[in-house]
Amino acid sequence: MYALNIAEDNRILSATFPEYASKEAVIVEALPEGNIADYLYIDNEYVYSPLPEPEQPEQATVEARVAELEQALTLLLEGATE
Amino acid sequence: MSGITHEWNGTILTITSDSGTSSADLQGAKGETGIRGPQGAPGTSASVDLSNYYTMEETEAAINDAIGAIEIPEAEVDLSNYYTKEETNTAINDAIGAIEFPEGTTDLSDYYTKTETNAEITKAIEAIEFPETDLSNYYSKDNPPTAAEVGALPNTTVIPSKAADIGAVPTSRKINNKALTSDITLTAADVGARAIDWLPTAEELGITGGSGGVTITKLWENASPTSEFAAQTIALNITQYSLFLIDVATSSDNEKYVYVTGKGSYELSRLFYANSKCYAQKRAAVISNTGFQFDTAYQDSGAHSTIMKPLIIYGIKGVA
Repeated sequence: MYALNIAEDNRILSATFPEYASKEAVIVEALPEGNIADYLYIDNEYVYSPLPEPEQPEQATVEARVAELEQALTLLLEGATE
Repeated sequence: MSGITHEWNGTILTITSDSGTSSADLQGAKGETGIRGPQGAPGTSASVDLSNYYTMEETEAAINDAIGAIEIPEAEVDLSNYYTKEETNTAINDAIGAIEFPEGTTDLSDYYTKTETNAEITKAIEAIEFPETDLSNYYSKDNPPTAAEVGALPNTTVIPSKAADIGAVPTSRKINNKALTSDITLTAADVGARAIDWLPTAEELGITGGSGGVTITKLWENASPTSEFAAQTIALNITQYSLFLIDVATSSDNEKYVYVTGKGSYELSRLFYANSKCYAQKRAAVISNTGFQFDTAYQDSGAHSTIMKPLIIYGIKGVA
């Protein structure tokens, strides 16, 4: 048995065991497989509805790193010749 | 005349006497067919004399002899008006040899001979002119790009060989007395922190209202520790507890950290060094008598729901 912590939009936020849950918690027999945050709980049923992946900052490419180093070298050389 | 003669033709009996001739038909009307008699005994075979007859072989020999004996009167066939086979073939060959083609009637002046045709084709191929392509905007073996054109440093550039030349930190530099020549593992003691298995004493916690020590009670446990943990409130009546141990999984690999907090606003946070970079993780929390309010977790400046996930929360209170 599990106790669900459910958001206002019915998305499952977390799950605990009934002995740690408040009286208002929703008690279920089993949890959905995988990431429970991908599910909504509507009318006593799980509805799979994953949130879109957050945009990750682009990883610096090797070319970008080389350009960065070249620029640093150029600045260094310019400074050295002044 | 004296005497009587008779004549019988099988049907009529004729009697002639001096008194005349009389006849009577002695055959009556045809009676019914009588009963067939019994089959007679087989007769004796008759012998046939064939000495005067040819056998088939003798007959054929006789015919052939007769045909061979036939003489055709050659002199009577006049072949003077016919060619023999040899004469016929000679005449045909003579006729073929006598055929004359009218050479002069075919005018080939407008046609090329094979040699002329090949010569004309060769001339035409040589006369083909290809339009010149402007390659001035393209590099070639004789006109390669310069270092500046491809964004490279000229080969006369001196590459700095020391960290100091480019303002970098030398590997001899130490952080917390640990040289940067290899990976660094920081312990709690290195930064003056408590060991991960450390638990405070009642005195250290300043718990009042009890002299018999403290009790630690599990208040909540995450039943799906590998799931994401978004911002949320965990409603619990924790009025009787003064301090809280929050066991936190710092990342998806569930490395654990334990935080000790009281009621109020706190920030579960940590710094870690990986891949030559330092990272910061944090999740703000507000703890009140009605439970725990966890904010969104962040790694550096990006929201991250798979880090700093509460796994177990213990409540600590003094014992009277």
